[in-house]
Amino acid sequence: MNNLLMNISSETGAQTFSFSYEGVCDNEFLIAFTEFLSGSFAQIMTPHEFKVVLFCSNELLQNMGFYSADRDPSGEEYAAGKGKFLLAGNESEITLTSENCVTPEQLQKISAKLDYYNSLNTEDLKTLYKQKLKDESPDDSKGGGIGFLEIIRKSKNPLTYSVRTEEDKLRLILKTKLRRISNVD
Amino acid sequence: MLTNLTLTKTKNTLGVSFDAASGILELSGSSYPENTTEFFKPLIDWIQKYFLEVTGKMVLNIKIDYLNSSSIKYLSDMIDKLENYHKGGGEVELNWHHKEDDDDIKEMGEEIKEDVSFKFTIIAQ
Repeated sequence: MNNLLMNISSETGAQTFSFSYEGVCDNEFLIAFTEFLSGSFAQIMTPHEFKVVLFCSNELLQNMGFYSADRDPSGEEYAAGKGKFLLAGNESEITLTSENCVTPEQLQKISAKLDYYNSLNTEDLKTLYKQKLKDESPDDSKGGGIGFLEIIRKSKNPLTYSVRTEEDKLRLILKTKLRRISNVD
Repeated sequence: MLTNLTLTKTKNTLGVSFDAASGILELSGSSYPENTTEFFKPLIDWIQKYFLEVTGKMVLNIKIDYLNSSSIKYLSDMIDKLENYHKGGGEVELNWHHKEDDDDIKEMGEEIKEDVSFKFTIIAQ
């Protein structure tokens, strides 16, 4: 069962908006989400904000589809992984959050990777990004192995993580923020 | 004999027009396919065949709106092939088009340009 909820409102002159989704993150949903974002949110963001939000959202969603430990084991009902996604914004920032089940091994790998990436400065991130473009993709990667790096580079903010347990399952929460241009000094 | 490669643009895959006779190649649109390898491998294979069989000048026109990270990786692989061909004496030119207000695509082009030795032109539309 997939759930989708969207809200755009303006209170005391300050516009807030949110979009949430819970369900299978397959390519069909990615296409629908991209079209939806272009139609509903492109008008309330600058072109740059829109491009960053589109990129980071799709990376988080595709990541859940590829790697979420919550999936139909037979692959008959749905082949892609399930997860939750939230896009929320106000006049000063836009926040993107994903949440999905992970195995302990996945958690260890992702947390080590993010701890390292989040410790790098802009130049070091660029150097690592260029190096990874030259490297062979990791065997267990269905993408290019640069998704997290690019989220950090494009949002100009860390990609933070936290973990909670639900019904004995580990749930990984990834969050990134984009400071809005109108709020930049 | 190398034949032309043409793929129609879809919502999540690039439009492709590779012309074997003229050596003019074009990629346009957005790319976030379900299986990136399946989409890009034939394109990279075509380019390698062109370098082996045709050995002529290649002009690649890139008109991209959006690429996901795995597509960026494959595009980078493609550009590496062009760079190697150029270093081996082949003639290569790349025209990187971006929309006037699309700084993200412009910056992506600028970063790629830093690492190539062939003619690379960034064009605002």
